[in-house]
Amino acid sequence: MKQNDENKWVEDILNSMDEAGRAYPVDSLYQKIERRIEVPFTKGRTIPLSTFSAAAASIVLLVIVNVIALIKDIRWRHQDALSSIVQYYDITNEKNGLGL
Amino acid sequence: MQAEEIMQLVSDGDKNAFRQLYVMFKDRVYNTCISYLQQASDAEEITQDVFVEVHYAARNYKGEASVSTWIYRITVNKCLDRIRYNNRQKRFSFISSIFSRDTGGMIHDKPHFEHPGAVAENRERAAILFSTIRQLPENQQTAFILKQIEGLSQREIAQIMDIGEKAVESLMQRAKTNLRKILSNYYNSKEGF
Repeated sequence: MKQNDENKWVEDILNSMDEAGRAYPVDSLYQKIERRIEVPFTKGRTIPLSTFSAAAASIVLLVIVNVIALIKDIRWRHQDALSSIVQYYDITNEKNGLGL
Repeated sequence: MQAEEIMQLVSDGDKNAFRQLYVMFKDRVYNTCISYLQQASDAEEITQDVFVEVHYAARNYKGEASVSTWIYRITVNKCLDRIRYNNRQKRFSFISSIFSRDTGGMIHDKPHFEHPGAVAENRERAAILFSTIRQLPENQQTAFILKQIEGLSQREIAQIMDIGEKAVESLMQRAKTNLRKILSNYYNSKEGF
């Protein structure tokens, strides 16, 4: 019984547009089309402020992440260079028997 | 005058012929658009786009397909493009809502849609049908809308979609099977409340 109700409901929904008519456009639509044909390239797009803010924030975030990465890289290179110099002096001193 | 003859005049730049063509096809184009996009403002915009393209592409019309098929093809493609664009916007709305000053909600969600052509006693049912059509894959959506809403024949749909009639039949079957599944789930979830 429940299955029959369900099937009937589903079929009613599926057939709900069977006797439907068409949707009609507003009368002024043709004038709008005519205007667009006469001046084809005037249709500009404005970017909403929220979209602009999101894009700007993404760029700022990207720059910050890159700057942090760059600073870390410079520090790492600097430390690496220092430790190589220290290592060089250690080896040289050992070779010369200074054992400092 | 036949649509093909009018088309010839349109390609020669005849304004009256273009108006005649518009009158001939505006309801079919708009009805298809509103069935896909489920929003009057979007449907109006895409109807404009379709006729602007028809105007400029008239010279390229070779007469290989009927004018009706050609215009339906442009309509379907433009509607699908708009749906893809809306979906991209919807995904982006998550980020943009963070920066939205007002509600911060999903600003691109479609409201409950009632097809203006639906018979009064079927309005609610039709609204449920349209919300489930949205969940179908693009080609099943196209087959279903052109057949059930626009009332086109299998042959016309095959020409518009550039596939065989058997393929249209199979798309329709799959669309109906999927819709039945979605609707059954909806029915059972409603029962649970």
